[in-house]
Formats: sequence, C-alpha cells, structure tokens
Amino acid sequence: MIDVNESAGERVRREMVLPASPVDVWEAVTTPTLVGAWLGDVIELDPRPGGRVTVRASDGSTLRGRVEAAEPGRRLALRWRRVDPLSSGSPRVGAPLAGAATKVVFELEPTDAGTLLTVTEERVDLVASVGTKEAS
Amino acid sequence: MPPGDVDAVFFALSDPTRRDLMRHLSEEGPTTASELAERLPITRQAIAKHLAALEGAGLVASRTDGRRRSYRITPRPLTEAMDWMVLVGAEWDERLDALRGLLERRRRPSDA
Repeated sequence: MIDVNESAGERVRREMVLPASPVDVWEAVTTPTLVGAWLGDVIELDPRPGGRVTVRASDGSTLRGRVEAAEPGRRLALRWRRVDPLSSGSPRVGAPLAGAATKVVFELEPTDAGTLLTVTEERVDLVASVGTKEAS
Repeated sequence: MPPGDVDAVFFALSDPTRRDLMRHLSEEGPTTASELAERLPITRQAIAKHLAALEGAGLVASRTDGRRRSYRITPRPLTEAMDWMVLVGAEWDERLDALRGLLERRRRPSDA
C-alpha cells in the first residue's frame, strides 16, 4: 500500500514501508540484477557519486544520468534524463516526459516493520538549467 | 480547474489501461470502442467502461454518427505539469509495487 501520495508543483513524492532492512532495500535499489526486477533493464549502474546510470524502461525509453550522492543504507540521489526513441513521432500522452531532466532521491529510514522508503522525483530542467548534455 | 475535476483527472489516468487508451486515441484520432478492442487485449465491454471513466473526467469526448460512436481526445484540460505528475507518479506506483514484491519474494524462502 502507498501510505502517502503527494504531488505538488513539479514534484512527485511517494512513501512506502518495505518489509526489509535498510541494508536489504539499499541492495535492491543499487544492485543491477535486482534493479532489473522493478525499474527496468540496467545497462550501467555505478552507485557512487559521479557514477553513471543507464536503465532501459519497459516502455522502450532510456533513463540516463549520474549519481549525485550515495550514503549506503540511507540516501541515494541521482539526476537522469529520459531519452525517448518514440518522441520523434506523433505527439502522445507521454510526450512531456521525453527529454525532461529530473532529480530522483531515495531516502531510507528504519522502522519496526522494515524500512520506510521515500522517493521524490522533481523536474530540474525548468528551474536551473545546468546545460548538461550527456554524451550519448 | 476546480479541485474535484483535478481529482477526476488523476483518478482517470491512474489506471494503466486507461493510459493505454489515451495513447491510442492520441495516436490514431477518433476511434470506436470496437476498433480499440481489436488492438488491445481486453474486451469491448471493459474498453467501454474505461472510455466512460475518461469521458467523465473530460479527457475524451464521444460523437455518434449514425450507428457509429467514436471517441477522441479532448483539447487538453491538463497542464503540462499535471501530465508530468500523473505519469511520473503512476510510474513510481508501479515501480514501488514491483520493488515491494521483489523484497517480499527475497524474504519468503526463510519464512516458508
């Protein structure tokens, strides 16, 4: 069950209590073979500051970016951009997602039941355009 | 847009099948429920129900021409920001459900 659903401004936030320790949850969000079970096929994932992340999502688009901060068992922050192979075609419902740079933060907190995971994703392309164009 | 309408839009787009229908209608233009049923792995009845929900939220409109009733996307009541939040939020709901499933499966062997 989702405990909190909040979507304010250009930001989406989800909280979920997971039946595993923060160490196990950290493993599940940073180990390529495990990430493949919930996020998409991992092409590269180096969970260290500056490490590259490339994931092919189930809809065929690719999420590509870099890890900004990693505190094992506590917090993982990354920035990614969706590279959508379909976006050159006709406009579709998903079009606003293509090309948008976002910051994603995973926060892990131990609870009696396991781990409270909070995920926030916010757009950063509209705020401060750092002008980063990742090489493809 | 009044708050009630915003809720209706979020609810309508929270379902993956309805998002699929929106995608089809935006790609193909006005389409009947039967035509959609030929392309999607769900029954015409289920499609009609989902289309009614989308119509109720103002996302699609229907038009009857003789015996043919077609559906099309309405001029968007959504801002781009809402689009983004609905779609990204729905993605995280799916991902976190899958993550929870993964962690439950990994725990089970020792419990069972």
